[in-house]
Amino acid sequence: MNDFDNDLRRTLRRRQPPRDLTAGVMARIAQPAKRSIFAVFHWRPLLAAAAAVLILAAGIGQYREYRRGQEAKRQVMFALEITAQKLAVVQEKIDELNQRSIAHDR
Amino acid sequence: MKADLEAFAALVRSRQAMVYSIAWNYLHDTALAEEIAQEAFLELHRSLPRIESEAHAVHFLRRVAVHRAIDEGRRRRWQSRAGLEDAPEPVAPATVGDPLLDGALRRLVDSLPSRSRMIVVLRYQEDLEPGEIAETLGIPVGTVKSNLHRSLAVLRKRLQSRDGKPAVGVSK
Repeated sequence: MNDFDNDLRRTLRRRQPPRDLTAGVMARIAQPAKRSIFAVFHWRPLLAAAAAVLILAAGIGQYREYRRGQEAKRQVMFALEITAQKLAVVQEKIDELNQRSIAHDR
Repeated sequence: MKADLEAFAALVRSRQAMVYSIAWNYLHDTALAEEIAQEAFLELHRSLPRIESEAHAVHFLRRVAVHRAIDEGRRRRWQSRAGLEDAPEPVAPATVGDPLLDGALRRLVDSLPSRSRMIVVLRYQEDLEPGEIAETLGIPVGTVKSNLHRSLAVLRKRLQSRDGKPAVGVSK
């Protein structure tokens, strides 16, 4: 062992904390354990995994429903658009016939 | 039950310097070191049914303090931190030696990579053998030996360049 080792040993020596930690530690031990809503999952990883799978499955189901609704809405809008186009053509024909009959009457 | 608590309080009193110093020598933050020390003792209390002896308890405390300190060091890596000069010196018995050299060595140790720093702390604060350090950190003994060898070479070289004198045998 050389002086460098001794210097390091002295620099990194153990030190007492500025205040005794005993009272603080014992007070925290005496406190009732705080249980959060998630604490149950801490000790039951399988339950947590099952809950996560259920939530995921429910989310996927909801998303699929939403997509199906969106598709149905798109199809209805498309059908209404076609109908409107057809009605416009019919209206055009009626107008044309009306014009002709007026001209013929004169 | 009361006797158990008294025994545990005595254990806290007798081992707090070890646990606190591991965290302080690694982080140089008094409040954090205190918090880590308290957490280590709480963790030990929760695990008491699995603890077989006082030596086991000491080993457990050392492991928890080491890993908490390393985690905290990682967390703080991206946060601004006070310089070592701002860190208040913890209460310690009067020492024989050069306080300037102490400060310089502490700064040099602090400049080492995190794992190397903890290896040096465990070797020189706790006087652990490489095998014990390896077990505490969960790494191979060979890694501890080579890391320690390299770290000490770096520290010697940096101290030498700082002082402008040969580093082996620093103290007079």
